[in-house]
Amino acid sequence: MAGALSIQSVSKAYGDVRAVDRVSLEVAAGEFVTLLGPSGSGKTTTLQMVTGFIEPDEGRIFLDGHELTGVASYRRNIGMVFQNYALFPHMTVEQNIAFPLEARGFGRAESRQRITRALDMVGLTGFERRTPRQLSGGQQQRVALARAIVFQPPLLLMDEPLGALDKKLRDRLQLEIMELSRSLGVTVIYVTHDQEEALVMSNRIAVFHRGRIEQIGTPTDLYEKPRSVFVAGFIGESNMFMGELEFDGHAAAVRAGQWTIRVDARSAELASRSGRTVTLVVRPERLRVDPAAAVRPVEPGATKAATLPGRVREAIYLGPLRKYVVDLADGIRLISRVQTEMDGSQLSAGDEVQVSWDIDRGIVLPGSADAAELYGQADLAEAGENPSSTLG
Amino acid sequence: MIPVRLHPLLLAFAMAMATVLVAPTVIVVIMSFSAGRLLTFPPQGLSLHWYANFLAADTWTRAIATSTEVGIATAVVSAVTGTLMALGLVRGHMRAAQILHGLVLGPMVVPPVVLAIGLYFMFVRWHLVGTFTGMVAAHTALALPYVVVVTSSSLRNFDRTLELAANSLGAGPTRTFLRVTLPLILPSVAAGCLFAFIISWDELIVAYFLSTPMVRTLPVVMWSAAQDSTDPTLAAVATFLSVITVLLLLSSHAIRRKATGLWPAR
Repeated sequence: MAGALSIQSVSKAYGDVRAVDRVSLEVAAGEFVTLLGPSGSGKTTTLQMVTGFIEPDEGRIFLDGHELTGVASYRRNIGMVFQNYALFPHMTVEQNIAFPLEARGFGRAESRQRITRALDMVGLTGFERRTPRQLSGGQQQRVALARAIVFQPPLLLMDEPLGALDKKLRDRLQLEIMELSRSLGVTVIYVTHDQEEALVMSNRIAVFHRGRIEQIGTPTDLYEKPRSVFVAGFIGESNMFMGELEFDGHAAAVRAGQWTIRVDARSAELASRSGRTVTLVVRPERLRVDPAAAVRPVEPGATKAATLPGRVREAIYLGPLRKYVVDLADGIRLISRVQTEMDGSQLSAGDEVQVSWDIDRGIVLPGSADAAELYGQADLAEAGENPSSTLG
Repeated sequence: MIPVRLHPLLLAFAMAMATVLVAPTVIVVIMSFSAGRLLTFPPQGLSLHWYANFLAADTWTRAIATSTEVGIATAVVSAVTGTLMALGLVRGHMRAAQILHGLVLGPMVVPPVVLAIGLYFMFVRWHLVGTFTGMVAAHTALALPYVVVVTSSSLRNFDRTLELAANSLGAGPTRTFLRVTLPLILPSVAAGCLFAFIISWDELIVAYFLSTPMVRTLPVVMWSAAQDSTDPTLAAVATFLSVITVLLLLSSHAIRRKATGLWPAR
């Protein structure tokens, strides 16, 4: 199977800004890999170096062993889908999809056949004679997709293809794109700043931050085992305690404000290698919230728990989930998500509670977690879409 | 339309201005249908006599032919050169782009008489005075700025991801230009082309300096006719000239409107 991409230490600088800084990435044939990151993190620049719209200053890129770097983009045989669809407005749907076939000198009969098949795949049979103007955003992106796969490229690149569409349509197209790419066996590199989209669609995700890949792994890896505060903050919601690590070789604790929170020794050991300032990350669904009076029975063999007293500020019903916002005495705000069915206590705002989590569920990461570091100044507005409670 | 109630004084002023602007044309058009022998207003009776006269006279038909030929050649030459210039100015990475842009737009600001005198002395030396080539070259200089302005504004609004898309689909620079860029800027080029024709079609000053009895455009012949005769044929010619100009202007406008409709609504 074709479509194995190898990006080897590519860099691209604009003036003093290193837009992409020694990025390496190996993608297996047929894999669906997402480049995820805030705007300006280098993901689109990396993608454009694969398409050939930009040449890297350093580094090389290979597709199935053939070097792409230095090859004109129109000779690379890579499908590309753009955020704004980039359909040719003066051509019909059919002419748009025929364009790459024409450029490759396909015969009329063969072209007709391929166009029919491509339109069928994206569910737009019968739309041949329409012009892009007569189509909705979702339909336009389907045409763009048909146009990008009709010449059967081994590699398909997508640059925020669903960014301009509404949530419902986005969800549907995510599934369609996944199915389509799987049935074609095409390798996909998908760029997005939407972490949920990345989690849904990808085999693996490369998290970009300031021109570098911060971490690459499966969605589960990134969510369960983030290796940096940035990744923990960018993927999913997180509760974060910033503080000093105290580690004596056996037991470990993080001293954050007035709290001394016990943490997992293994996790602490890794973090301690890069200094004493650490951030403890606890995912909202790992956080239990119980009425202050109640004492949860300790199951035999259960790992030890960290416990903090607090008061419910908001109790939000989200259908399958219930979300609690809990304030600790010193103003630290925590978020807990509990499955509605499992939530016996049904707390309401103002209730005194104690929050707890199994200490091996807390992740200790080196470094601090201020908002600017998490998202980069310019990206704060965008980051509002996936809030994480940043504490310190 | 919002109904606007004008102050009576403002209304009177507006009417006066409209009269000053439109009246000369209206009077000429009316006089061209006169049955009388002299250019007088109001006309004495109605007839198409002067139109027949105009179309029968060799001087006039030759002038129309010359003007049409010069106009078409000017339109074609300035459309091609102007588009290439616009491409260079908008897409190129020239340091001197600003200066070049200024130079191209020069003929729009330089007084026509100054330009005419300059062209005259230059063309005398190059033996271009009184030639078809000279006339076309001079009119191209006058028309070029308009083509460059119209075409470069359409190139500036051009969504360049369309060209990137064409590249990614396997189209090299030539195919991309011919199949994507050119068809999309073509309406602007066509509008510029019509405009260039109109500029050449009713241009008098430069044409007057460069004309000889052999090569005389319609406005030049009209000017000399106005000097030594007072028969209403001149009014008929003037009407003809205006009608063509107005029709071309309208179609240029229509083309540009249609062109903006091509782009998908954002």
